[in-house]
Amino acid sequence: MNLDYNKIDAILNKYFEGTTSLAEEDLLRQYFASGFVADKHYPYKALFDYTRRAKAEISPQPVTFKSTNNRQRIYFSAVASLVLAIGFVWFIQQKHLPNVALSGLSTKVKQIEVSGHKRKEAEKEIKKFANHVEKGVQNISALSIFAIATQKVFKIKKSSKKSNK
Amino acid sequence: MTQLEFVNTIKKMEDKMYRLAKIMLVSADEAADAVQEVCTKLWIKKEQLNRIANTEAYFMRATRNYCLDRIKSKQAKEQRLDSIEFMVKSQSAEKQYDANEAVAIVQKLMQDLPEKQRIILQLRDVEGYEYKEIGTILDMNENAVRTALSRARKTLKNALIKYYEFGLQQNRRYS
Repeated sequence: MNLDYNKIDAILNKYFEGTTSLAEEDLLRQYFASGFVADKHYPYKALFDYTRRAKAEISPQPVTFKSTNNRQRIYFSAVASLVLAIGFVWFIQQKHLPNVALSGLSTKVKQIEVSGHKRKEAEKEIKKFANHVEKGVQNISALSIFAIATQKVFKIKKSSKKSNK
Repeated sequence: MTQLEFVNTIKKMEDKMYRLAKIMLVSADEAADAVQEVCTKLWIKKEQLNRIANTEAYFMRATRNYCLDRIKSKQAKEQRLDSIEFMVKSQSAEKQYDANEAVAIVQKLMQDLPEKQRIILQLRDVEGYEYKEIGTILDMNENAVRTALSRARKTLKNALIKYYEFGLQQNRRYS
């Protein structure tokens, strides 16, 4: 490396003023890595060593897009589970609602059937009762004839007693 | 931007993005997570990236913005402090190597620089961006970039001269 320390001084001054080009900065980096650094420039060596080391640093873990996929997967599974849950609830409701209605209807029908059966029975009972009443009325009428007859007999007996007296 | 183009750009950019994130967040783990997050966000809107003139500058800018948001959050601040403490402690272990010590001192001095100066120094001296590109990444004009860079370099220069002189005095005392 052909070293011109005056040139290095000039570039270093420009460097600290922030007016160097990238090519000049490369030249400085080469100079400080060469092992021929002048004593007066030695304090700045650490600065260029640092930048060289920092440039060599690489990311410890390469970028992956796994997290995005995972997020999407979690999102889609959550949505799918929700849809399934809603669908299941809806299905159960749809399945049970007509049954409930039907069961309600059937109980009403049963009640109607039961009430119809009772009515028939009641009608039979009423008919039986009516027959009994009819029989009773007939018996009572027979009794009344008997009563009239007995009254006549008793009247005769009473009148005979009065005449005997 | 197609998926293949995007993946190729990321492969080219991820180390630069990581180094920028690390200079801002200090913690290597935080920096790696930040790059992953930024890339994930960019991946989602990869179709829109065709409209961007300078994709590389855009990626660096996205990294810088994300890191600024992280720094603002309390959690990131705490991790940052932990890492600085760790670095300061670890310097004593490196004292046996002069070169390593000097580099560690620069690293520490870098952390003490104002954030903008630190990022500009990183983008110029480590990543080798042109002043104009740095301006695009940081939304600054070229002259402001040069001024901030000059201030950062001079701060480091003065600190290193002091450190070097102090070292020489110590050597003279013990010799």
